[in-house]
Amino acid sequence: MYDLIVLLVLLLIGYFFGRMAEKKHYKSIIEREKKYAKIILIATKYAPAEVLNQQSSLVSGSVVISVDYFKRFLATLRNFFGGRVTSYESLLDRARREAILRLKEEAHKKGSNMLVNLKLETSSISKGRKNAIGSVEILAYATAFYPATKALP
Amino acid sequence: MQRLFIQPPKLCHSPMQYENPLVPEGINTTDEHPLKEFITLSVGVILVVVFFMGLITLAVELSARLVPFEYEQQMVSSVLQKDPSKSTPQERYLQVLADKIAQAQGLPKEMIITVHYEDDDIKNAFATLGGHVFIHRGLVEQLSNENALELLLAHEIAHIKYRHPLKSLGSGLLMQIFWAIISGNSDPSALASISQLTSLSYSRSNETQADEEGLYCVFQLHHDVNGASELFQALIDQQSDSDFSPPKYLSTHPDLAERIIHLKKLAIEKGWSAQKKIKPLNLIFKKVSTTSGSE
Repeated sequence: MYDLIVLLVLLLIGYFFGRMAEKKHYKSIIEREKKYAKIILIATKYAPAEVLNQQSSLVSGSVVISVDYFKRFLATLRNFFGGRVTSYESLLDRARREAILRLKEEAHKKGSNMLVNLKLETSSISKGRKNAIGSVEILAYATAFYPATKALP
Repeated sequence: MQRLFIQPPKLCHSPMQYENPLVPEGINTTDEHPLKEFITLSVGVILVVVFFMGLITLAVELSARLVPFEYEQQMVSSVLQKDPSKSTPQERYLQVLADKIAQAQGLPKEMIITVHYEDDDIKNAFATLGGHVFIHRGLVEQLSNENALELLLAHEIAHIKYRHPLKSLGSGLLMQIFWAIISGNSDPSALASISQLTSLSYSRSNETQADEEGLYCVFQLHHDVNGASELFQALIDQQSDSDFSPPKYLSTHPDLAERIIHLKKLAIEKGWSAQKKIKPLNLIFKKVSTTSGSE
Protein backbone atom coordinates (compact mmCIF):
# COMPACT_ATOMS: atom_id res chain seq x y z
CA MET A 1 0.00 0.00 0.00
CA TYR A 2 3.02 2.27 0.23
CA ASP A 3 2.77 2.25 -3.57
CA LEU A 4 0.21 4.97 -3.24
CA ILE A 5 2.43 7.24 -1.18
CA VAL A 6 5.33 6.65 -3.54
CA LEU A 7 3.03 7.39 -6.45
CA LEU A 8 1.87 10.68 -4.94
CA VAL A 9 5.44 11.76 -4.25
CA LEU A 10 6.47 10.90 -7.80
CA LEU A 11 3.49 12.79 -9.16
CA LEU A 12 4.30 15.86 -7.08
CA ILE A 13 7.94 15.81 -8.15
CA GLY A 14 6.94 15.30 -11.77
CA TYR A 15 4.36 18.06 -11.61
CA PHE A 16 6.47 20.75 -9.99
CA PHE A 17 9.73 20.11 -11.77
CA GLY A 18 8.08 19.33 -15.09
CA ARG A 19 5.98 22.48 -14.98
CA MET A 20 8.89 24.61 -13.93
CA ALA A 21 11.02 23.22 -16.77
CA GLU A 22 8.22 23.70 -19.28
CA LYS A 23 7.59 27.33 -18.33
CA LYS A 24 11.26 28.15 -18.49
CA HIS A 25 11.65 26.37 -21.80
CA TYR A 26 8.71 28.13 -23.43
CA LYS A 27 10.04 31.48 -22.28
CA SER A 28 13.39 30.76 -23.88
CA ILE A 29 11.80 29.38 -27.06
CA ILE A 30 9.63 32.46 -27.60
CA GLU A 31 12.61 34.73 -26.98
CA ARG A 32 14.88 32.95 -29.42
CA GLU A 33 12.19 32.60 -32.07
CA LYS A 34 11.99 36.39 -32.17
CA LYS A 35 15.76 36.62 -32.33
CA TYR A 36 16.04 34.31 -35.33
CA ALA A 37 12.86 35.43 -37.05
CA LYS A 38 14.86 37.03 -39.85
CA ILE A 39 16.25 33.66 -40.95
CA ILE A 40 13.81 32.40 -43.55
CA LEU A 41 13.01 28.72 -43.20
CA ILE A 42 10.91 27.05 -45.86
CA ALA A 43 9.94 23.50 -46.61
CA THR A 44 9.97 23.64 -50.40
CA LYS A 45 12.22 21.26 -52.23
CA TYR A 46 13.63 23.86 -54.63
CA ALA A 47 15.72 26.86 -53.75
CA PRO A 48 14.71 30.40 -54.78
CA ALA A 49 16.62 31.82 -57.76
CA GLU A 50 18.43 34.44 -55.71
CA VAL A 51 20.37 31.95 -53.65
CA LEU A 52 21.28 29.50 -56.39
CA ASN A 53 24.74 30.98 -56.87
CA GLN A 54 25.44 30.87 -53.15
CA GLN A 55 27.18 28.17 -51.19
CA SER A 56 24.99 25.58 -49.53
CA SER A 57 25.36 22.94 -46.86
CA LEU A 58 23.34 20.66 -44.68
CA VAL A 59 22.46 22.00 -41.25
CA SER A 60 20.72 20.11 -38.50
CA GLY A 61 19.46 20.54 -34.98
CA SER A 62 18.26 17.84 -32.66
CA VAL A 63 16.85 17.73 -29.17
CA VAL A 64 15.89 15.03 -26.72
CA ILE A 65 13.26 15.83 -24.11
CA SER A 66 12.12 13.48 -21.38
CA VAL A 67 8.54 13.14 -20.29
CA ASP A 68 8.04 13.60 -16.57
CA TYR A 69 6.11 11.23 -14.31
CA PHE A 70 3.11 13.52 -14.08
CA LYS A 71 2.75 13.83 -17.85
CA ARG A 72 3.07 10.10 -18.28
CA PHE A 73 0.46 9.43 -15.60
CA LEU A 74 -1.90 11.91 -17.22
CA ALA A 75 -1.41 10.16 -20.56
CA THR A 76 -2.15 6.79 -18.93
CA LEU A 77 -5.38 8.15 -17.51
CA ARG A 78 -6.21 9.61 -20.92
CA ASN A 79 -5.80 6.14 -22.41
CA PHE A 80 -8.98 5.04 -20.65
CA PHE A 81 -11.29 7.64 -22.10
CA GLY A 82 -9.55 8.75 -25.29
CA GLY A 83 -9.14 12.29 -26.57
CA ARG A 84 -6.31 14.76 -26.93
CA VAL A 85 -3.24 13.76 -24.98
CA THR A 86 -2.54 17.37 -24.07
CA SER A 87 0.28 16.51 -21.70
CA TYR A 88 2.31 15.11 -24.59
CA GLU A 89 1.24 17.80 -27.03
CA SER A 90 3.13 20.52 -25.24
CA LEU A 91 6.13 18.23 -24.87
CA LEU A 92 6.32 17.60 -28.61
CA ASP A 93 5.59 21.23 -29.42
CA ARG A 94 8.56 22.26 -27.31
CA ALA A 95 10.80 19.62 -28.84
CA ARG A 96 9.90 20.59 -32.40
CA ARG A 97 10.44 24.27 -31.85
CA GLU A 98 13.68 23.70 -29.96
CA ALA A 99 15.04 21.49 -32.75
CA ILE A 100 14.19 24.16 -35.35
CA LEU A 101 15.83 26.82 -33.18
CA ARG A 102 19.01 24.78 -32.91
CA LEU A 103 18.91 24.35 -36.66
CA LYS A 104 18.60 28.11 -37.09
CA GLU A 105 21.42 28.70 -34.61
CA GLU A 106 23.70 26.53 -36.69
CA ALA A 107 22.63 28.33 -39.83
CA HIS A 108 23.21 31.68 -38.15
CA LYS A 109 26.79 30.64 -37.36
CA LYS A 110 27.33 29.94 -41.06
CA GLY A 111 25.97 33.36 -41.90
CA SER A 112 22.90 31.97 -43.60
CA ASN A 113 19.58 33.74 -43.87
CA MET A 114 17.87 31.18 -46.03
CA LEU A 115 17.04 27.59 -45.16
CA VAL A 116 15.31 25.37 -47.67
CA ASN A 117 13.80 21.91 -47.64
CA LEU A 118 13.15 21.58 -43.92
CA LYS A 119 12.58 18.06 -42.70
CA LEU A 120 11.60 16.93 -39.24
CA GLU A 121 11.98 13.48 -37.78
CA THR A 122 10.57 12.25 -34.52
CA SER A 123 11.59 9.17 -32.67
CA SER A 124 10.83 7.94 -29.20
CA ILE A 125 13.63 6.66 -27.07
CA SER A 126 12.83 3.70 -24.78
CA LYS A 127 10.43 2.30 -27.32
CA GLY A 128 9.21 -1.13 -26.33
CA ARG A 129 10.52 -0.91 -22.81
CA LYS A 130 7.76 -1.30 -20.28
CA ASN A 131 7.39 1.22 -17.48
CA ALA A 132 10.37 3.25 -18.61
CA ILE A 133 9.86 6.96 -18.63
CA GLY A 134 10.04 7.79 -22.30
CA SER A 135 11.99 10.48 -24.05
CA VAL A 136 11.39 11.96 -27.45
CA GLU A 137 14.00 12.98 -29.97
CA ILE A 138 13.27 15.47 -32.71
CA LEU A 139 15.75 16.03 -35.51
CA ALA A 140 15.35 18.98 -37.85
CA TYR A 141 17.52 19.30 -40.93
CA ALA A 142 17.57 21.58 -43.94
CA THR A 143 19.81 23.05 -46.60
CA ALA A 144 21.34 26.38 -45.66
CA PHE A 145 22.37 28.90 -48.32
CA TYR A 146 24.96 31.52 -47.51
CA PRO A 147 27.16 33.89 -49.51
CA ALA A 148 30.49 32.32 -50.44
CA THR A 149 32.47 35.18 -48.96
CA LYS A 150 30.82 34.87 -45.58
CA ALA A 151 31.41 31.15 -45.34
CA LEU A 152 33.26 29.98 -42.28
CA PRO A 153 36.00 27.38 -42.66
CA MET B 1 8.39 12.98 -62.71
CA GLN B 2 11.17 12.07 -65.10
CA ARG B 3 11.04 15.47 -66.77
CA LEU B 4 12.12 17.12 -63.56
CA PHE B 5 15.55 15.62 -63.83
CA ILE B 6 16.04 16.66 -67.43
CA GLN B 7 14.88 20.21 -67.00
CA PRO B 8 16.79 22.65 -64.81
CA PRO B 9 15.30 22.94 -61.33
CA LYS B 10 12.13 24.94 -61.26
CA LEU B 11 12.84 28.33 -59.79
CA CYS B 12 10.71 29.62 -57.00
CA HIS B 13 9.52 33.13 -56.32
CA SER B 14 11.88 35.80 -55.16
CA PRO B 15 12.93 35.56 -51.50
CA MET B 16 11.30 38.87 -50.74
CA GLN B 17 7.97 37.11 -50.79
CA TYR B 18 9.00 34.73 -48.09
CA GLU B 19 8.49 35.46 -44.49
CA ASN B 20 8.25 33.39 -41.32
CA PRO B 21 5.72 35.19 -39.21
CA LEU B 22 5.74 34.32 -35.51
CA VAL B 23 3.10 31.69 -35.03
CA PRO B 24 0.66 32.49 -32.25
CA GLU B 25 0.82 30.27 -29.18
CA GLY B 26 -1.83 27.73 -28.31
CA ILE B 27 -2.33 26.10 -31.69
CA ASN B 28 -0.54 22.87 -30.94
CA THR B 29 -0.98 23.04 -27.22
CA THR B 30 -3.77 23.88 -24.84
CA ASP B 31 -4.02 26.59 -22.23
CA GLU B 32 -6.02 24.34 -19.94
CA HIS B 33 -4.30 23.78 -16.62
CA PRO B 34 -2.90 20.23 -16.44
CA LEU B 35 -4.19 19.82 -12.89
CA LYS B 36 -7.74 20.37 -14.11
CA GLU B 37 -7.33 17.54 -16.59
CA PHE B 38 -5.65 15.42 -13.94
CA ILE B 39 -8.51 15.86 -11.49
CA THR B 40 -11.23 15.25 -14.09
CA LEU B 41 -9.58 12.09 -15.37
CA SER B 42 -8.69 10.79 -11.91
CA VAL B 43 -12.22 11.23 -10.63
CA GLY B 44 -13.52 9.48 -13.73
CA VAL B 45 -11.17 6.54 -13.37
CA ILE B 46 -11.82 6.25 -9.63
CA LEU B 47 -15.58 6.21 -10.21
CA VAL B 48 -15.28 3.52 -12.86
CA VAL B 49 -12.96 1.40 -10.72
CA VAL B 50 -15.02 1.79 -7.55
CA PHE B 51 -18.13 0.86 -9.50
CA PHE B 52 -16.57 -2.35 -10.77
CA MET B 53 -15.06 -3.17 -7.38
CA GLY B 54 -18.54 -2.74 -5.91
CA LEU B 55 -19.94 -5.08 -8.53
CA ILE B 56 -17.26 -7.68 -7.77
CA THR B 57 -17.87 -7.43 -4.02
CA LEU B 58 -21.59 -7.76 -4.53
CA ALA B 59 -21.15 -10.74 -6.84
CA VAL B 60 -18.89 -12.43 -4.31
CA GLU B 61 -21.26 -11.68 -1.43
CA LEU B 62 -24.18 -13.18 -3.32
CA SER B 63 -22.40 -16.20 -4.76
CA ALA B 64 -20.36 -17.30 -1.72
CA ARG B 65 -23.35 -18.97 -0.11
CA LEU B 66 -23.83 -21.07 -3.24
CA VAL B 67 -20.41 -22.69 -2.79
CA PRO B 68 -20.74 -25.73 -0.52
CA PHE B 69 -18.43 -25.65 2.50
CA GLU B 70 -17.24 -29.09 1.43
CA TYR B 71 -15.50 -27.52 -1.59
CA GLU B 72 -13.56 -25.26 0.73
CA GLN B 73 -12.47 -28.24 2.79
CA GLN B 74 -11.38 -30.14 -0.30
CA MET B 75 -9.44 -27.12 -1.55
CA VAL B 76 -7.14 -27.13 1.46
CA SER B 77 -7.30 -30.78 2.50
CA SER B 78 -3.91 -31.59 0.98
CA VAL B 79 -2.07 -28.78 2.78
CA LEU B 80 -3.94 -28.52 6.07
CA GLN B 81 -4.26 -32.12 7.16
CA LYS B 82 -4.24 -32.66 10.87
CA ASP B 83 -3.68 -35.76 12.92
CA PRO B 84 -5.84 -35.50 16.07
CA SER B 85 -3.64 -37.93 18.01
CA LYS B 86 -0.71 -35.54 17.78
CA SER B 87 -2.54 -32.55 19.20
CA THR B 88 -1.14 -30.84 22.27
CA PRO B 89 -3.17 -30.19 25.45
CA GLN B 90 -3.51 -26.54 24.48
CA GLU B 91 -4.85 -27.51 21.09
CA ARG B 92 -7.36 -29.91 22.63
CA TYR B 93 -8.45 -27.22 25.07
CA LEU B 94 -8.92 -24.68 22.28
CA GLN B 95 -10.72 -27.26 20.15
CA VAL B 96 -13.28 -27.93 22.90
CA LEU B 97 -13.77 -24.20 23.34
CA ALA B 98 -14.08 -23.71 19.59
CA ASP B 99 -16.73 -26.42 19.30
CA LYS B 100 -18.69 -24.75 22.10
CA ILE B 101 -18.44 -21.39 20.36
CA ALA B 102 -19.36 -22.88 16.99
CA GLN B 103 -22.49 -24.31 18.54
CA ALA B 104 -23.33 -20.99 20.18
CA GLN B 105 -22.92 -19.19 16.87
CA GLY B 106 -25.24 -21.68 15.22
CA LEU B 107 -22.77 -22.90 12.62
CA PRO B 108 -24.28 -25.42 10.19
CA LYS B 109 -23.32 -29.03 10.86
CA GLU B 110 -21.00 -29.36 7.88
CA MET B 111 -18.92 -26.36 9.00
CA ILE B 112 -16.31 -28.11 11.09
CA ILE B 113 -13.81 -25.95 12.92
CA THR B 114 -10.26 -27.26 13.23
CA VAL B 115 -8.01 -25.39 15.63
CA HIS B 116 -4.25 -25.33 15.04
CA TYR B 117 -2.16 -24.12 17.95
CA GLU B 118 1.22 -22.86 16.83
CA ASP B 119 3.84 -22.83 19.53
CA ASP B 120 5.73 -19.73 18.44
CA ASP B 121 6.12 -16.06 19.35
CA ILE B 122 4.05 -14.63 16.50
CA LYS B 123 1.34 -12.42 17.97
CA ASN B 124 -1.41 -13.38 15.59
CA ALA B 125 -4.39 -15.60 14.91
CA PHE B 126 -6.26 -16.16 11.69
CA ALA B 127 -8.98 -18.19 10.04
CA THR B 128 -8.60 -19.67 6.61
CA LEU B 129 -10.43 -21.80 4.07
CA GLY B 130 -12.09 -25.03 5.17
CA GLY B 131 -12.73 -23.97 8.77
CA HIS B 132 -9.10 -24.01 9.85
CA VAL B 133 -8.27 -21.56 12.64
CA PHE B 134 -4.65 -20.83 13.55
CA ILE B 135 -3.85 -19.51 17.00
CA HIS B 136 -0.28 -18.56 17.85
CA ARG B 137 1.06 -18.84 21.39
CA GLY B 138 2.50 -15.31 21.09
CA LEU B 139 -0.97 -13.84 21.07
CA VAL B 140 -2.64 -16.13 23.62
CA GLU B 141 -0.01 -15.51 26.28
CA GLN B 142 -0.73 -11.79 26.06
CA LEU B 143 -4.28 -12.42 27.26
CA SER B 144 -5.16 -12.61 30.93
CA ASN B 145 -8.71 -13.92 30.90
CA GLU B 146 -10.88 -16.53 29.26
CA ASN B 147 -13.37 -14.03 27.85
CA ALA B 148 -10.67 -12.43 25.72
CA LEU B 149 -9.61 -15.86 24.48
CA GLU B 150 -13.22 -16.69 23.70
CA LEU B 151 -13.64 -13.42 21.83
CA LEU B 152 -10.53 -14.27 19.83
CA LEU B 153 -11.84 -17.70 18.89
CA ALA B 154 -15.36 -16.41 18.33
CA HIS B 155 -13.99 -13.68 16.06
CA GLU B 156 -12.11 -16.20 13.92
CA ILE B 157 -15.04 -18.60 13.87
CA ALA B 158 -17.32 -15.74 12.80
CA HIS B 159 -15.01 -15.22 9.81
CA ILE B 160 -15.68 -18.82 8.87
CA LYS B 161 -19.39 -18.54 9.55
CA TYR B 162 -19.66 -15.63 7.14
CA ARG B 163 -17.33 -17.33 4.62
CA HIS B 164 -14.85 -14.45 4.72
CA PRO B 165 -11.81 -16.52 3.63
CA LEU B 166 -13.73 -17.75 0.58
CA LYS B 167 -15.06 -14.27 -0.19
CA SER B 168 -11.65 -12.65 -0.02
CA LEU B 169 -10.19 -15.37 -2.20
CA GLY B 170 -13.00 -14.93 -4.72
CA SER B 171 -12.86 -11.15 -4.81
CA GLY B 172 -9.06 -11.25 -5.00
CA LEU B 173 -9.19 -13.49 -8.05
CA LEU B 174 -11.91 -11.45 -9.73
CA MET B 175 -10.03 -8.22 -9.13
CA GLN B 176 -6.89 -9.66 -10.68
CA ILE B 177 -8.86 -10.70 -13.73
CA PHE B 178 -10.46 -7.25 -13.85
CA TRP B 179 -7.04 -5.58 -13.82
CA ALA B 180 -5.62 -7.93 -16.41
CA ILE B 181 -8.53 -7.09 -18.70
CA ILE B 182 -8.62 -3.33 -18.41
CA SER B 183 -4.93 -2.61 -18.12
CA GLY B 184 -3.70 -5.25 -20.55
CA ASN B 185 -1.08 -5.77 -17.85
CA SER B 186 0.69 -2.67 -19.10
CA ASP B 187 0.79 -0.28 -16.18
CA PRO B 188 -1.40 -1.56 -13.38
CA SER B 189 0.59 -0.29 -10.42
CA ALA B 190 -0.89 3.18 -10.22
CA LEU B 191 -4.50 2.27 -10.77
CA ALA B 192 -4.37 -1.00 -8.89
CA SER B 193 -3.85 1.10 -5.77
CA ILE B 194 -7.39 2.38 -6.07
CA SER B 195 -8.78 -1.15 -6.13
CA GLN B 196 -6.54 -2.09 -3.23
CA LEU B 197 -8.07 0.71 -1.20
CA THR B 198 -11.52 -0.59 -2.08
CA SER B 199 -10.67 -4.16 -1.15
CA LEU B 200 -9.09 -2.98 2.10
CA SER B 201 -12.27 -1.25 3.09
CA TYR B 202 -14.11 -4.49 2.31
CA SER B 203 -11.62 -6.35 4.49
CA ARG B 204 -12.15 -3.89 7.36
CA SER B 205 -15.91 -4.27 7.15
CA ASN B 206 -15.44 -8.06 7.39
CA GLU B 207 -13.34 -7.58 10.53
CA THR B 208 -16.00 -5.41 12.12
CA GLN B 209 -18.64 -7.99 11.31
CA ALA B 210 -16.52 -10.71 12.93
CA ASP B 211 -15.90 -8.51 15.99
CA GLU B 212 -19.60 -7.95 16.52
CA GLU B 213 -20.49 -11.60 16.05
CA GLY B 214 -17.61 -12.59 18.35
CA LEU B 215 -18.74 -10.33 21.16
CA TYR B 216 -22.32 -11.46 20.77
CA CYS B 217 -21.09 -15.03 21.11
CA VAL B 218 -19.19 -14.24 24.32
CA PHE B 219 -22.38 -12.73 25.69
CA GLN B 220 -24.34 -15.82 24.75
CA LEU B 221 -21.89 -18.07 26.58
CA HIS B 222 -21.69 -16.08 29.83
CA HIS B 223 -24.43 -13.44 29.66
CA ASP B 224 -21.60 -11.04 30.31
CA VAL B 225 -18.79 -9.56 28.17
CA ASN B 226 -16.44 -8.29 30.87
CA GLY B 227 -12.77 -8.41 29.87
CA ALA B 228 -13.39 -9.51 26.30
CA SER B 229 -12.05 -6.37 24.65
CA GLU B 230 -8.80 -6.93 26.49
CA LEU B 231 -7.95 -8.91 23.36
CA PHE B 232 -7.52 -5.67 21.45
CA GLN B 233 -5.73 -4.02 24.35
CA ALA B 234 -3.15 -6.80 24.13
CA LEU B 235 -2.81 -6.10 20.43
CA ILE B 236 -2.41 -2.37 21.07
CA ASP B 237 0.36 -3.05 23.61
CA GLN B 238 2.12 -5.17 21.06
CA GLN B 239 1.58 -2.59 18.31
CA SER B 240 3.28 0.19 20.27
CA ASP B 241 6.43 -1.94 20.35
CA SER B 242 6.80 -1.57 16.63
CA ASP B 243 7.42 2.08 15.88
CA PHE B 244 5.28 2.53 12.78
CA SER B 245 1.70 1.64 11.99
CA PRO B 246 -0.01 2.46 8.70
CA PRO B 247 -2.92 4.90 8.55
CA LYS B 248 -6.39 3.46 8.90
CA TYR B 249 -7.38 3.51 5.23
CA LEU B 250 -4.22 1.59 4.29
CA SER B 251 -4.87 -1.21 6.73
CA THR B 252 -6.62 -4.56 6.42
CA HIS B 253 -7.98 -4.26 9.97
CA PRO B 254 -9.78 -1.37 11.65
CA ASP B 255 -7.88 0.70 14.17
CA LEU B 256 -7.60 -1.25 17.44
CA ALA B 257 -8.65 1.59 19.72
CA GLU B 258 -11.69 2.12 17.50
CA ARG B 259 -12.52 -1.57 17.69
CA ILE B 260 -12.55 -1.40 21.49
CA ILE B 261 -14.77 1.69 21.44
CA HIS B 262 -17.05 0.10 18.86
CA LEU B 263 -17.48 -3.07 20.94
CA LYS B 264 -18.11 -1.08 24.12
CA LYS B 265 -20.77 0.95 22.33
CA LEU B 266 -22.29 -2.23 20.95
CA ALA B 267 -22.44 -3.79 24.43
CA ILE B 268 -24.17 -0.71 25.85
CA GLU B 269 -26.56 -0.55 22.91
CA LYS B 270 -27.56 -4.18 23.26
CA GLY B 271 -27.58 -4.05 27.04
CA TRP B 272 -24.87 -6.67 27.45
CA SER B 273 -23.52 -6.40 30.98
CA ALA B 274 -19.80 -6.31 31.73
CA GLN B 275 -19.63 -6.76 35.50
CA LYS B 276 -19.18 -10.43 36.26
CA LYS B 277 -15.97 -11.65 37.68
CA ILE B 278 -13.53 -12.66 34.95
CA LYS B 279 -12.14 -16.14 34.79
CA PRO B 280 -8.35 -15.98 34.44
CA LEU B 281 -6.71 -17.58 31.43
CA ASN B 282 -6.24 -21.32 31.71
CA LEU B 283 -2.85 -22.11 33.19
CA ILE B 284 -1.82 -24.44 30.38
CA PHE B 285 -1.05 -21.45 28.19
CA LYS B 286 0.96 -19.75 30.89
CA LYS B 287 2.90 -22.90 31.57
CA VAL B 288 3.97 -23.32 27.97
CA SER B 289 5.07 -19.75 27.80
CA THR B 290 7.37 -20.09 30.83
CA THR B 291 8.91 -23.39 29.76
CA SER B 292 9.45 -22.24 26.23
CA GLY B 293 10.87 -19.00 27.57
CA SER B 294 13.54 -20.89 29.52
CA GLU B 295 14.42 -23.13 26.61
